[in-house]
Amino acid sequence: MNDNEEFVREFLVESAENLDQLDQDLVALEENPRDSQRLASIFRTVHTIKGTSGFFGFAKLGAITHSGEHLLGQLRDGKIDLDNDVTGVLLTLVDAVRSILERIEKTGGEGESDFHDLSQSLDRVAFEAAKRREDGVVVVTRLTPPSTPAAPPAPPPPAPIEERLPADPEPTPTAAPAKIETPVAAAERVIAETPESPAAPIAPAIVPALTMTAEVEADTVPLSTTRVVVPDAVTAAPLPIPAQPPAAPQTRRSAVAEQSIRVDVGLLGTLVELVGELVLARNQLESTVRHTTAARGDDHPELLKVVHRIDTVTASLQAAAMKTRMQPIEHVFSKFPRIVRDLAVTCGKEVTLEIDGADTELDRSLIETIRDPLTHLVRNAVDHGIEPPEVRVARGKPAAGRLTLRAYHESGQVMVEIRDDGGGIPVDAVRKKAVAKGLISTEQAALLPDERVLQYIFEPGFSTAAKVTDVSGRGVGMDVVRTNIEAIGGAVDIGSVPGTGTTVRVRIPLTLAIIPALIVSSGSHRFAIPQAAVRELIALRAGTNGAAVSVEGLEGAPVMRLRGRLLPLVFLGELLGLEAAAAPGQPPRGTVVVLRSDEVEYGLVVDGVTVSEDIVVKPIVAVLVALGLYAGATVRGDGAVVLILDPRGIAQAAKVPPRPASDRAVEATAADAAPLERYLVCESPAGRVVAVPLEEVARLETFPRERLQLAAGHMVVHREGRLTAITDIDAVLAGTPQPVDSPAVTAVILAATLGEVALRVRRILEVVTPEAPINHGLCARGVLGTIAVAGRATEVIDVRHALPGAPPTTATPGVTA
Amino acid sequence: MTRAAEMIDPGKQPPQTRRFCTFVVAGRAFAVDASAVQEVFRGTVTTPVPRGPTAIRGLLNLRGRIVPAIDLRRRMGFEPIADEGIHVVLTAGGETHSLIVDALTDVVDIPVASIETSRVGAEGSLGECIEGVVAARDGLVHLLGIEAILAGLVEPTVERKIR
Repeated sequence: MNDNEEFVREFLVESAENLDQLDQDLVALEENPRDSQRLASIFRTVHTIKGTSGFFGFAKLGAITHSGEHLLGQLRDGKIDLDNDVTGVLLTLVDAVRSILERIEKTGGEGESDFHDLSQSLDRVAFEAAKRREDGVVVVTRLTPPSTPAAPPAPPPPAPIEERLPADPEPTPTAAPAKIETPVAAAERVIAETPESPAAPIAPAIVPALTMTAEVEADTVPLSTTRVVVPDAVTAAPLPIPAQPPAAPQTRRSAVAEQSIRVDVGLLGTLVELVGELVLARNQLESTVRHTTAARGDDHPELLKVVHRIDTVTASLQAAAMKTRMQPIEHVFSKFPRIVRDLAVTCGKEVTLEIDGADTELDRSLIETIRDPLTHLVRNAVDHGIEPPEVRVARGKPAAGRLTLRAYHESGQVMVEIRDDGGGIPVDAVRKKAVAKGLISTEQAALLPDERVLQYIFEPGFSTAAKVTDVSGRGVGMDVVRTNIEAIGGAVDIGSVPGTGTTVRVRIPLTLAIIPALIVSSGSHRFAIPQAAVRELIALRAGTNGAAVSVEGLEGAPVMRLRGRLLPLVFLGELLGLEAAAAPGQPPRGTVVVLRSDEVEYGLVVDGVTVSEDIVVKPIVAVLVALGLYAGATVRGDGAVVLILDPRGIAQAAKVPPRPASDRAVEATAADAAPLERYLVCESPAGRVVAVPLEEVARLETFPRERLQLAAGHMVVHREGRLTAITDIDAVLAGTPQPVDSPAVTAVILAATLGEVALRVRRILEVVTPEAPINHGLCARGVLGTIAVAGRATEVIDVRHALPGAPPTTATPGVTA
Repeated sequence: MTRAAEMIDPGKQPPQTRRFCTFVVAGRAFAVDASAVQEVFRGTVTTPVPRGPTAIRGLLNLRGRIVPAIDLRRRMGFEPIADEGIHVVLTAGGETHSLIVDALTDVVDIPVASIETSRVGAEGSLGECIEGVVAARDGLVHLLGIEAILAGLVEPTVERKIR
């Protein structure tokens, strides 16, 4: 590759980013046409592309961007107004530029397409808009001076102002004052926004505005409300002003640019891989040192200190390296303003898009995967969700529909919420359709609560759209959305209130690179099972009569009776041909890992469950992926390679029948009707036996005491690269916090809405399902109520009191910050 | 790569020789293109792949990278031996594999002109791996095609699945 090609590539990369920004800027500008900074930025971008295309000799690109620049120049100079036509043609320009750039990337040339039409329509729109302006009223939108005069001590020449005044020397007084507010507001904003040295950049911008006001004031009387208040700083500003361009925005931009650099993605991948290696080497070092010192009976404190230091540095390095994989979800969201705008125009609707939490980060590899599903959901919301303006008005809603996109972190996952205030999903139509498609019986349909019925939206070939449009309604889509999201271990949930709107929540794992997994054994083999698919573990006891668990044969296929339902069983060793099936007559033993995805539920019988741990997922070669049994592989702490089982693939290989859809829905209703309240019973550091509602518990963890730190008056624990507030369970119960006396701290991690919080306990006792529901009458501070556990009254912790900041937190003694 | 270079740069003399890594499997001499070879080491495979292709003896942890080890004896239809072997790690088509051989012999430059590409007397799974033959001082050296070795891995799996 020669130098020129390299420059071209750089130009392409840079332009691609700029174009995405342009899309956003244009849509935002349409919302707020007076945003001069944005207009200036758009102008700059187009100008840059034009300049560079000239340099490389891309004539077509040069021609259309030239016309675009002209139109933008008119806009910037206030000669025309931004209206639908202008935005439309500018967006077309962006598309054209993008297509030429793609062409250049692929072929090196600009391609055959002639964009002469576009140039013409750009020019025509510029002309027509200017003409419309001349026919209409005065709109003074000149906010940024085209260039700073070299020496502007004298008042600016009156010529440009007269130009902008209407041909009619007697303007209608009603129109003028209303419009005149703009330069004043803008002038004040410029003043407010100018950082340190207000004098230099402000004055040139403000002077024309002042003069203009003065001039109009002479013509029209009722202007007292819009009188310009000039701050002292400006009036006192020494005029003449040093002749330098108003450079504030540019300097800010370049400062940002300097803080980030372009790094090859492959290089980052290598970095993460090497860090993984380092982690393994660290583990080996630790175990070697432990064995050696134990064998020699000598502690060697210096060596242990170094090992400890390597340990902490490696952990931080790993966290930092994983962060390089993270990207803000903005990379997906940034496309939506344009998509929503175009779609709204196509469907004849008015839609206001609100985006929140665009800076929420997730793994780069996931960004691409969620792009299509999210786009589909957004399209659906605009096309089906939000009603046409006239319908909305008739229903007493504002004509413009509101579409809200919100992303946030919750319990180590990313939540994306797509909410519209449209007509909602007609639940009864869904109900009828589900019956018509034979998914449920009429009786079942009548019993199902609405929110369960809505889940049928995700069934293949399910569409309730009255008419098929270009955009959506062909009955494909929602099932694909769900399949794609589930393929990356996420979940989709839908809620809708007729007449009020629909909310779709998408749950996405933070990263695919590291997942929690269960390590199981079968014979001498070890495998990892992604925790996301695991529902529960059941011990398979041999020959225990009357035990809850027993294996039965159903037409040769082993099944297990689990809480009154039949669960198909798959014997892992048999399936993988690891060992002969249990001899006839000999009851099987081991552990049943209950796995559930949306289509199947089955029990995977393994010999034992070793441990649950976070594993680093590594890809395996295509030949092995094609087997359909393995999702990847991982390297254990001792360097051993372990294959990761693919729960879906195993179900397919073992021909586990899919769960009938009715089973799924009915079972869900049953669960809703009688929610099984379960509690985790544990002993507090002070020795009190308390219960925590199991649904509040995210996980149980044990970590070394050194990870506890004092921050901002709260005890925090450093885990997985994050800081989690940790509270002594006794402190929640208004008791005395106990010192941390053991080297390891056991904690119950609670999944709170605002993040996780850890509860320090002495030990975990058991999980119980009390016969009687919780008695809320027996409560106290921090105590939600009381349940009976094995005949003993046990207090249930009110987890809200465990949240940091809620109660006055007492620092746990015995730990140095 | 060399062929591509010839096409792009006709002015230059085409390379006279290709460099090969030679080794022994079941008493016969074989060779692979040395440019694909990353490293060679002696070691054992710890993790078998249940229901995987029979020729894949298992998975290696190569500095954090998961690499399948292909037993060339099994792949080419020879009597397998349980001994630990020599791993010839090579990259092809963006994936890394290891070939288990009995012993490594040499790295040699072979004149392109002396490579006989018509197959000489080998059929079946052995034949499909061989791309060419070269006469050396002490007998024939069979040049193995990496893509051919990998492509043939899939078939036994399909058979087993059907059964």
